[in-house]
Amino acid sequence: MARKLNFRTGSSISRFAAPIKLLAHRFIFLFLILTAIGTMLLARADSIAVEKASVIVTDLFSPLLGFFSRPAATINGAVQKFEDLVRLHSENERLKAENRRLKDWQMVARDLASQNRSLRSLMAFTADPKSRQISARVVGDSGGAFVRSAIINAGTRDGIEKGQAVITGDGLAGRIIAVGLQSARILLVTDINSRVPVLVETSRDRAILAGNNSGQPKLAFLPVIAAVKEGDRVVTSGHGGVFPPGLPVGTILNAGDGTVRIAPFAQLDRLEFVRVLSYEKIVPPPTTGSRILSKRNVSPP
Amino acid sequence: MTTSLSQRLEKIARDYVPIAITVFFTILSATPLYLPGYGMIAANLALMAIYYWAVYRPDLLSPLAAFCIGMIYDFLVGTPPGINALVFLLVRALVSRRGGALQGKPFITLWLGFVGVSLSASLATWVISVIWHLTFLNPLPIVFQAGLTIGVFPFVCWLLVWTQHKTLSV
Repeated sequence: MARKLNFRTGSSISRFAAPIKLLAHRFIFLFLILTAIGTMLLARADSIAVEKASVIVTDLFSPLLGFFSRPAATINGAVQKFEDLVRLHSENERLKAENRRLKDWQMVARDLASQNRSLRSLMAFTADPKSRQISARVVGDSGGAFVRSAIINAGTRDGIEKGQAVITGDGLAGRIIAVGLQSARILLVTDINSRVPVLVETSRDRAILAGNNSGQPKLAFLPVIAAVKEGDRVVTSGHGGVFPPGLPVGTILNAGDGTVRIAPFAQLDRLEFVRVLSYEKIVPPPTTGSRILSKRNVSPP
Repeated sequence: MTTSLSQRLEKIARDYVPIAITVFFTILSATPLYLPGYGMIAANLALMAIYYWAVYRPDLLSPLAAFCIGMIYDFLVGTPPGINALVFLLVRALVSRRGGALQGKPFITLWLGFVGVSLSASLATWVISVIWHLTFLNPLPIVFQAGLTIGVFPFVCWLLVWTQHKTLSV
């Protein structure tokens, strides 16, 4: 009797389970499509959950990315060594000439530094906060046609934080937008979502360096009366407190046709090693309104 | 005849070969080659693997697997999460439905099928990216990427055929 009951229960379960399984198979596809669209919308709204998922996956795969990028890095290093060997003589001559020029500059710089020190002590000048540098290797490249970002093999355990500036030996590369334990993602200055406050070194005109996914980001919000010309150096302004001031960004390419574009100093399309600046951000003082309010709270009438 | 535990474990391991290979290709797609400009036109190796397994062994690459691989791809490459998950899911669904027509056909037919899939996937990625960014994006990089992906397909396909013969043809 018990066996008969079990058999009946089993057959009835399978009778019910079969259509449910079929239904689940039919709807799983639709469910996954909706999940993909939902994830896109959440990512658009800067969802913390999506960012965390991205950080976890990147962290998990970064050792593998580092491992697989080794052969390419070795070949790249060998090619560069060969190129260096080929132009050894001309490079030596160029460096000798540069060394002579730099020695002259060193004398000028020493003189200016001592002058600067004495003037600063006279004026009780508050110096910019010092920055610490963390070196890292690029282990993940942007394989997307519409993204300019990279993954590095350093994370929170190395002192990397979100928002820090990333530089190469030549100039600004971008900023950290997501950090995991052992990896971090850099948003390059050329990415369409990148905005960096900059100023033109000679004219001191402020602007925003806006990425456009091309190799030549443009200068937005540049004053109409700005006296900029081709070849002018562009550096970070330090406004907003995210980037330290004075980091070299690039040179102005064309300033005539309304849109001012710049050529970044850093070779962003073949990044291998970068330095992350651990910069002590400047905390803005409280506004007058909030000061009045806090005073009121401290000493009520 | 009963199968031993080791045989059963081997069977399970073999069944996961398509997913493992596709994940491996996804990692390779995000690996830097330190070549100027390569990053933006890097061949989409994961798409080739999705297409191949959807034609020959769709039973071993479920829609859930295609979705998860797409998400991993998005997270590693840095594209807005969900774009490639959606594209891989659609490619897997469409190709597995018509995969029978491509099985046993000469390689050129398989390649032509991939040309259609790659171009459609690129167009879909471009359209979704434009909507996501709410701005016009230059489609040229993705055209180059599609071209490179199509050009590299025969070599990757040879590797996939070899893998299938070595691991799944028992």
